[in-house]
Amino acid sequence: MPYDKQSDIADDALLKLYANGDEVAAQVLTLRLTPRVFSQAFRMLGDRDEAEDVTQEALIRLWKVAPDWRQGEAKVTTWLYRVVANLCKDQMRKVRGLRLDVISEPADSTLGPVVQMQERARSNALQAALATLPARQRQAVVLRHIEGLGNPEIADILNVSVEAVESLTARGKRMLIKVLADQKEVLGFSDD
Amino acid sequence: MTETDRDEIMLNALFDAARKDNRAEPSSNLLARVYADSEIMQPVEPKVGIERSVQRIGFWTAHRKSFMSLYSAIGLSIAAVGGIWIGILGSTSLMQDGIAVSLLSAGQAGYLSEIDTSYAFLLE
Repeated sequence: MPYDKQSDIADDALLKLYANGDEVAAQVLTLRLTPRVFSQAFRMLGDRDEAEDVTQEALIRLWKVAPDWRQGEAKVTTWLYRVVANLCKDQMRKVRGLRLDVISEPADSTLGPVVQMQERARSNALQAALATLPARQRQAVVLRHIEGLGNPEIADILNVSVEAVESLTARGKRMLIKVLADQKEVLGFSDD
Repeated sequence: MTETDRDEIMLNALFDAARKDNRAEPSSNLLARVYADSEIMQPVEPKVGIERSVQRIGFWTAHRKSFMSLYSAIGLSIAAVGGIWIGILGSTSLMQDGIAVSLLSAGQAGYLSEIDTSYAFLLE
């Protein structure tokens, strides 16, 4: 099936096509799901290399389950976010702390240099603050406020109730504010 | 504006900066690796005819098949030789001159002329 015809097809239908040997479905799924998986892993781990390994592993697991996937029963992205959350949790047990200093990717060239620097500083500060949160809180905050998922889906991913997700995100945000309190001015948030 | 409002604004700005951060985008190298994995792990449908091509043939079956093809070849050769023989014998160019005139009556001359135009003069 041609690529443009598949761009509107649901993830689970594409996965079925993939399992039936459709090569274009593999391309569409790779391009559609890799950015989401990588983004979540990077927010959780704060390290590109580790996030890449987790992304690759999560998608390998998806390719493996594809032939047995029951269309319409589960959301592919929810399943993937859950796998990534578990892989990140395992990874965080192994490696502690952030290594933002090793990241040297080019900044967004569409912004002015001052804005670029400030945006990068804010992103780094948030990433560092996220690293201080307990794993559950971090996952809930990342999925809710950066990935933009709804509380019911996050509850499904973390295997907790919706109320528990609300509690996790609220506590996580309070902790972030506390950690970032002394950096407000540096990050461009004055009390005036 | 309360302190809580200001904190909320700050957090929203930080989340916004994080969403725009291009370090959270996958590299082309990672995309290539993921796609390569998908190709390797993709189930492949069995091709039609593979089973037939790997089917083993028994000793006697193989010999019977080769004999049958030998019979076919012999039959074809006999047919070819026969065809050549008929062609040579049937050729009018090898007929003895005047044999038809001596053997056939005038009434049959028209028939011979249809076979060989060299007998056409008999019609006159």
